[in-house]
Amino acid sequence: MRVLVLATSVAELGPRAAGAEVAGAWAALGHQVAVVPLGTGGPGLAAAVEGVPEVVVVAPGVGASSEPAGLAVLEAFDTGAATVLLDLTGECPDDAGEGLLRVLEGREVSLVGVVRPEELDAPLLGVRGVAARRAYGSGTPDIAAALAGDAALTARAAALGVPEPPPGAGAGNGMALAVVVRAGTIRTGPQAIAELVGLEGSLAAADLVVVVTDALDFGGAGVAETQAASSWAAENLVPCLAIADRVHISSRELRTFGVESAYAAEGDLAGCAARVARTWNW
Amino acid sequence: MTDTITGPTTAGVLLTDVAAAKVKSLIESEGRDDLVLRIAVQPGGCSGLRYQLELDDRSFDGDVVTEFGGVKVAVDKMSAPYLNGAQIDFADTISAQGFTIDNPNAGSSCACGDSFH
Repeated sequence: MRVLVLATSVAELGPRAAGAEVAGAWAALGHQVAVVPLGTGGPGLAAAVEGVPEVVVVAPGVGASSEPAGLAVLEAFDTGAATVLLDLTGECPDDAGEGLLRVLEGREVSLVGVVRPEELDAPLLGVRGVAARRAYGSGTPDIAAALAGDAALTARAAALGVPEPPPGAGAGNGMALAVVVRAGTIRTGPQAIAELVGLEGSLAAADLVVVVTDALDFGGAGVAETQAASSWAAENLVPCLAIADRVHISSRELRTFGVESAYAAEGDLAGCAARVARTWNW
Repeated sequence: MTDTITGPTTAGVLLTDVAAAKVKSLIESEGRDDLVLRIAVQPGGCSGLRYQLELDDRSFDGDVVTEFGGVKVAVDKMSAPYLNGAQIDFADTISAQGFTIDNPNAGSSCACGDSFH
């Protein structure tokens, strides 16, 4: 039996350590195991790609300009990175990547814009676009600001050679436009990691997928990683289990995610995994 | 009661006679003659998009302005594609009060009717 463990951090354990604890339960029964860390963004994404050769995560952070992010990207490539994951899942500057593009002008770079799953198709322009979200999100709807901001972004995108920005260009407060301009890709954290580590092959060979997260609840914790894992498992026609330190979602809802069953470790990850492995093995 | 729609029927927003009369009285109560009824679509609400109706004295580049019974209705260029063919009515019954919008572009609406998708 071959078990693929997809893990995020659990309590004090990083994703690799948490994954190893769970994988150990199946390994002890003589099964083949593989551990792949997952993360959607922020510290979780950085922890997940730690140790992946020539991959660096850069988070733009809040501010008026994305120039500091551009300098960080440049430094990463100058010190040996082959791919930079531009983490757009948190706060992002307001300049739609203008500063970053200025800094990177004339340089060959391989950029992956990592966005929140709900922003994967976020438009740059229009009623659902960046300027409208900004102008109407403040609580005092300002149609003049929305229209002026949208017109400015429309002109900017056209000047950059992207008159019809693709879905996703509006992610990260419009920073994803810079990724599009530099012919980069826009992915969720799990998608980016899957491509970096060649997860497709492991999935095709797996008999069981186990996703490991700190919590599984409707507040969003662990849901993105779990949904990614379960959708990959479904594509490969293998069952998907979840082991989380805390589980706050009922079995019925978990089934809508494509998860066969979820187990709460409640502080004893290795013990829980051992009990699950005794049942889920063949 | 049957409302008749006096205005272009091929494109843009439609204002019923009842709604136009109500808007006209609201404008008159403001004591001004430079106001238009502005209808906009903005992100928000549980279904993703919501309507905004206001009396406005501004005009924006690309506004689509149509007149119904002496009342001007303005739709900004961002909102226009979402409101093409939408009919605005005014209801004052036991089951419905206020302005209502019947929008053929709305795939679904939330239960409160405040937002649409």
